[in-house]
Amino acid sequence: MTNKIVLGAVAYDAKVVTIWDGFQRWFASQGLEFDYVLYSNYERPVEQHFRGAFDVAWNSPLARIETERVARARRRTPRALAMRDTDCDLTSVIPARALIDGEVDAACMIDGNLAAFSNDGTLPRSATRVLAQTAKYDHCNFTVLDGVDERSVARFRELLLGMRYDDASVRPLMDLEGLKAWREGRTQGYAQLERACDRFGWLREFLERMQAA
Amino acid sequence: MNEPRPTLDLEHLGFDRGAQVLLARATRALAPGALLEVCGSAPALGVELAAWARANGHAARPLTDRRWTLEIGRSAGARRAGAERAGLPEEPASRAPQCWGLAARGALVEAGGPEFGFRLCEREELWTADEATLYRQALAAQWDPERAIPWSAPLEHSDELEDALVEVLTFLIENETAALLVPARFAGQTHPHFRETLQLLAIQAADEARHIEVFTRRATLRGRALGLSTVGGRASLKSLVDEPDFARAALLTSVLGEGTFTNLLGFLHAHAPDRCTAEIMRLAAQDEARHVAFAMSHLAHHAQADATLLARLASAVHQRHAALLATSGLSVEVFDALIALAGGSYQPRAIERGHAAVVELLAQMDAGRRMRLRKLGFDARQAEQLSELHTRNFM
Ligand SMILES: [Fe+2]
Ligand SMILES: [Fe+2]
Repeated sequence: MTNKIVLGAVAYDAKVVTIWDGFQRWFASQGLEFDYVLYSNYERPVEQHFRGAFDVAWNSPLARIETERVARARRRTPRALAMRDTDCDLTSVIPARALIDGEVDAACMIDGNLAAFSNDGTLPRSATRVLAQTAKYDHCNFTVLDGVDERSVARFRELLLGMRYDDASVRPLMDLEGLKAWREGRTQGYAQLERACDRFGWLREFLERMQAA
Repeated sequence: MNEPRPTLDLEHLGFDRGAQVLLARATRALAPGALLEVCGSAPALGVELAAWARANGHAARPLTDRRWTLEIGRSAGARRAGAERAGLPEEPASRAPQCWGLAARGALVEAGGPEFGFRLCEREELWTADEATLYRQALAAQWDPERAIPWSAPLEHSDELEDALVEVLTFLIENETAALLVPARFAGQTHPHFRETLQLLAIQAADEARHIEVFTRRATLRGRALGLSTVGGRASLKSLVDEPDFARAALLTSVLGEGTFTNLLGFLHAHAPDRCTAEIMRLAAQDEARHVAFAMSHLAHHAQADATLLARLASAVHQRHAALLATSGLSVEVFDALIALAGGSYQPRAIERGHAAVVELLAQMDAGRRMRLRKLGFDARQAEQLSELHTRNFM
C-alpha cells in the first residue's frame, strides 16, 4: 500500500496552488502520494474535515480552535502534527501614529508586519509608537483527527520534519511557504485566542451549526 | 573561560533606518548555533528584532530592554552552501549547464531552480577568444544612417537606371532580412554563458536591421515602385532561415552568403549612380566583412576541435544545392540590372562594359568563396567544388 495524504487548505492567495503543487511533486519523489483540496473560506474546511473530506487540515489558529471544540463535542481526537518555525511565538502589536491635527491613527498587526512596514518605509518609526504588544502565540498547524491512516500520517510528518533548507530541491518551496524549518506541532500557543473567542462569543454560531455548542 | 561574544551595536538604528543591513552583515559570517549579542536604543527594537530573527531562522532572546542574544539558526548560509561558480568571468566553461540560466558568467549560482532550454551550450561550437575583440570592433564601427549617408546628394541619372538600382535594392532588402533572422534565431538558442557570442549575434542582427533600413530608404528615395521578389529567391532564402544547425548555418549564410555579398556590395559601391548609394554600399560592405570574420573565427575553431565538422559542412552545401536544383537562382531582372548599373546606361557599348564587369564580379565572388573555404581547411578541389555549388542567388 502506498502512503497517501489529502490535505485541506484555504486558497487565501493564488500562490497557494503553486505551493501545494510544488509539495505534491516533492512528496511524490519521496514516495508519498499527496493531493490537496482548497476552500475559499476558513470555516468550511473545518466542517469538511469532520466529514472525512481530507486527512490533514492546514489549520489557521481559529480553525484549530474550532476543530478542538467540535472534536470535544463529538468525542474525536485532534492532533497537531507540525508547524512552520515562522509560525511559532508571534506577537501582535498596536503601533500608533500621531497625525498633524492631533488625532491618532492606530492599527493592530503581527510584529513581522511591523518590521516589514518599517523596512519598506510605510511606517516611519520616528512618527510611530508601539502602544501595546500581546503575549506570544502560534499561527498555523497541520491537524489530523483520529481514524486517519497512521502509517501515511507518520510518513507525511517525517518528510516534513526532515525537510532541510540547505536542500536545493525544497528550498524554493520553503521560501514560498515562508519557513526555514518545520517544527513539531504544539497547541499551547492558541490559549490567548481561545479565551478571546469565548469572551466575545465568537464561536457560538459556528458551533451551533456544527451541533457542537 | 568563555570567548568574548561578538557584539553588534545598532546604536539608534531601527528597522525603518536599515538595522537589517547591519544584522545581515553581522550574522553572515556566523555558523549555526553561534551567539551574537545585539544592542540598540531604537524604540520597540525588541519587537522588530524578534520578528526579523524568526523570519530568518534565528532566535532572539532579551537580556535587558536594550540588549538581546541572537542564536544563529541552522539554515544560515544554506543558500550559498550548495552554490557553484558559473565559470570564470574571462573564460567560459566548456559546457554551460542549463540550470545556470541567465546568470552572469562568474556569478555564484544558488543550487536548484529551473532548467533552461538553450540548445547551443558547448563552448567548442560557439565561442572563441577572438569574439570579445570582434564585438568591440563591431561596436566601434556602428554608424548612424541619418548622419553617415548623404541622403540629399543629387540624383542625376535616368529613371531607367534608377529602376535598375531599385531592382537590385529590392533583392538586397529581402536578403538582408534573411541575414537578420538567422543570427536572431540562434541568439535565442545560445546559452548566455557564452556572452560574447550572444553579443555578436545581437549586434549582427542590429547591423542587418540597419541595412534593411538604408536599402529601403534609398529604394524609395525617388518614389519609384519596388522591384520583383522571385520564387527562386525566396526558396533560396528559406533554406537558410530553416537551417537548424548553427555551424551549417554559419557556413551557408555567413561564409558563403555574406562572403559573396561583400563582393556584391563592393561592386555596387564602385558602380553606384549617386553618392548616397555609394556610401550605403561602402558602409554595408564593412559590416558584412565583420559578419564573415565572426563565422570564420568560430568555424575554424570548431573544425580544429571536431574532425567531423568539415564533412558536415560540405554535406550542408550539397544538400542545399540539391534542394534548390529545381529553382531558377538569381533573377534575370537582378542580373540585367547589375549590368546596366555597371555600364551606366543602356547604350550598347555601356552594356558591353557592364556585362564584362558582372562576369568579372562572378569570378571574384567565386575566388573569395574558395579562399575562405581553404582557410577553414578544405583542400583546393573541395573548395572549388563547394564554391561552384553555392546558390546562384548569391546569399
Ligand atoms: Fe547585411
Ligand atoms: Fe550580414
